Amino acid sequence: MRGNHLEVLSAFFDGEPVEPELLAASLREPGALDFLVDFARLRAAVHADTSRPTEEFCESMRETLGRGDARRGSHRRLVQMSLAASLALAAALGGFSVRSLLDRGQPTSGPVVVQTRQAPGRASAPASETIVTPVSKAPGRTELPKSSKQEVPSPNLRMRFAEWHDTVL
Amino acid sequence: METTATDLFERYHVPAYRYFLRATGSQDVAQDLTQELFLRVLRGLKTYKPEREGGWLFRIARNLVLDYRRRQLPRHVGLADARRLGTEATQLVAFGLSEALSLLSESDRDLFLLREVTGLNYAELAGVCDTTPENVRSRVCRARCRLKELLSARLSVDENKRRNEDG
Repeated sequence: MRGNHLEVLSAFFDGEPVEPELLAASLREPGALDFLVDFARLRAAVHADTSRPTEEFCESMRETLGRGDARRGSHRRLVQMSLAASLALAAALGGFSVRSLLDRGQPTSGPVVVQTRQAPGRASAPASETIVTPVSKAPGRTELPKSSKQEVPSPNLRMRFAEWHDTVL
Repeated sequence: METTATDLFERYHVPAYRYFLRATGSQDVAQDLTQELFLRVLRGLKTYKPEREGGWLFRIARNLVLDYRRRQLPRHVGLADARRLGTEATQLVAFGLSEALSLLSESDRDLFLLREVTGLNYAELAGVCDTTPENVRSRVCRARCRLKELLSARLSVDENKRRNEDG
């Protein structure tokens, strides 16, 4: 019997996938059935071994492994709790940092209000003086609507206006 | 539900012990190696993969056997002794499966035992022995044919002996 036919029979005997055509050819070989029967005898001889480790040994192993499993479980719980605490701390710190960054991006002073005062001696003349007063943020103070905030002139604009005003006057 | 070392012990201690017993021929050594195997399993559970459970566990088992043989060989039998014992053994007529197994090459014997004792398939065995499923297929077949040859020789000699005694 050729080696490849034996391999097919052996693999088939082990429940491994084999090509049906090859299996048919292998089974037609003389002595193929004897080989299969011998393989089965060999397996039976190996499985006839009923030896086991002693019960005392098994008990001792169960005890040791049980302790190890318990230690492993508590260690894992500890790691999980530490991880959860670290995440919570990181989230809190992150939130604080973001808040600080956002606060830094805001102007320190509130909206600017431009007031005009009539120049003395001129009844209906245009404003002769412009006072730009930053309105400090104070608790309870009502903020101007957003659109008003955008229209409020910046200090630079105020300087240009003052220069223009001086020139005109 | 996570698998614990105790679960794996319940599932595999008998096949592992039988594999060690067949591979070493000593009950004490088999028990020691079984103990070492499950202690390593406990320590190595981080690398455990449920889908390759058997392969993972018997890979550790096989490494233990290889380590054991490496430690034992120089103390008990040198290479020349092993060859001499092998030759003598083939001339002996009364040897059973264990003796026949001892005449196989280490790798063929391991593969045959792992296949028969643990029931791992060829792909899993290939993972255990760092080889290909095709190689496993061919080596398991070679081991079987050699065992059949050795054991049938023994059986025929036993048969002749019986006939002589009857005659």
